[in-house]
Amino acid sequence: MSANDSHIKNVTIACTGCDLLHRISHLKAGQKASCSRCGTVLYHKKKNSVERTLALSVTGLILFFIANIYPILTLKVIGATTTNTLMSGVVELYQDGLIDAAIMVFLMSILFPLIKLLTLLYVLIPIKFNFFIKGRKVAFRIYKSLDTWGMVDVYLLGIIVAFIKLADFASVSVGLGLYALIFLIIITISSSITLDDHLIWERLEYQE
Amino acid sequence: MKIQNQTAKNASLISCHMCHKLNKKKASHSRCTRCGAKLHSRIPGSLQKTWALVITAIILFIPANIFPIMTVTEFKRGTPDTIISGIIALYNNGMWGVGTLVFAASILIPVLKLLALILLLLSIQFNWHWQPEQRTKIYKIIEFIGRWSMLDIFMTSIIVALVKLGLLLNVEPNLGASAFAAVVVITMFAAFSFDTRLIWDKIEK
Repeated sequence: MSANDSHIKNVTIACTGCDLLHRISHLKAGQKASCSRCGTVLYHKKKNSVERTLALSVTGLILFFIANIYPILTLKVIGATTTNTLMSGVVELYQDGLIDAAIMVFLMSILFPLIKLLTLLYVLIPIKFNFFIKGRKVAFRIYKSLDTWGMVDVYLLGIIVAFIKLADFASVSVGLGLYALIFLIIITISSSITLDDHLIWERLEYQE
Repeated sequence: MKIQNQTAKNASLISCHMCHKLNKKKASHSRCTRCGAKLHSRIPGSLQKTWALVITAIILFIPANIFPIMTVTEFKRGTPDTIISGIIALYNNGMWGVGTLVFAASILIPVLKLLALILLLLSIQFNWHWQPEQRTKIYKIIEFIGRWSMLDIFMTSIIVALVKLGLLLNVEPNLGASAFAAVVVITMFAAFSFDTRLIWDKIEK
């Protein structure tokens, strides 16, 4: 049996939008079932979900470290040069006394995206290679809870706006960190598309 | 796909909010048999929580817009920038695209989101039967777009980290940034504490 086989062929689920019960049977890979009353997607079966998501998460983790170590933008004004990283913005907000804003930026742009990558790997690796480790249900619950709170995509838009504003009076150049960040966002979005929640929960239910 | 024409609640079942497994309803607070999350048929105190967070966000929206989010100091002369004055400056410099983007993310989205939540809350409290499908869709949109309002805060954190050239040119973040970040986070919590199933519960009765 491959890692993508679903244990349950027939399943009853309630719509998350309106609570109406639906019976879903024999959904093929790539097919979607929507609620007959309010239109919310009930179940979306993905193709090779475990392998694809795992490959993306490993790549994502490498990109995450590159994006955090290397400078994002470099500013040159009248002979002086400054660069920034993801963390330097947090430090600057903190030093200027905006501790709550610093914490929020740190969580949303650095910590939550990292936790999302790590928890997803923690859940997917044992499923793919068929071994047992504890705490995967908690890990996947953490992943799901942080889903919207990791905001690298919004952060990128912030970089673009900052770039355009600064380019008005100074020379701004792009660093390796920014390229890594762009690929990290593509990876993050792709892995949320390839991830099959129902499949993961089914696997965890029968393995733990 | 066969529809059983019954909600989970009416069938004495609870759909887990985390993993969506159907659990049998028990007398007291119980946990999902599959993922271990706390079970609830509807988000507990959904309307009160959402109202409280919406009102808090509206109050915080005032300091978020009155106080500057950053101050640009050129040769010891400081000019504070609020969110609105930042947008106006972008328009004045001919950057219409970026100006509109920042306006949409910082002003339009939070305001529309709060108005939409108020509309949804009122629609449940006054038992409106009007367009349940459309109301569910409105919720899906506001649940999804709220996070984009963080744009201005991230931009500020990048600019203050880059523009550090001593007395010549310096940018400092100000209190408005904290207030605005709080507005974004609180409106996101407000959206997450709203339960669309309440819209449909009213239709059934």
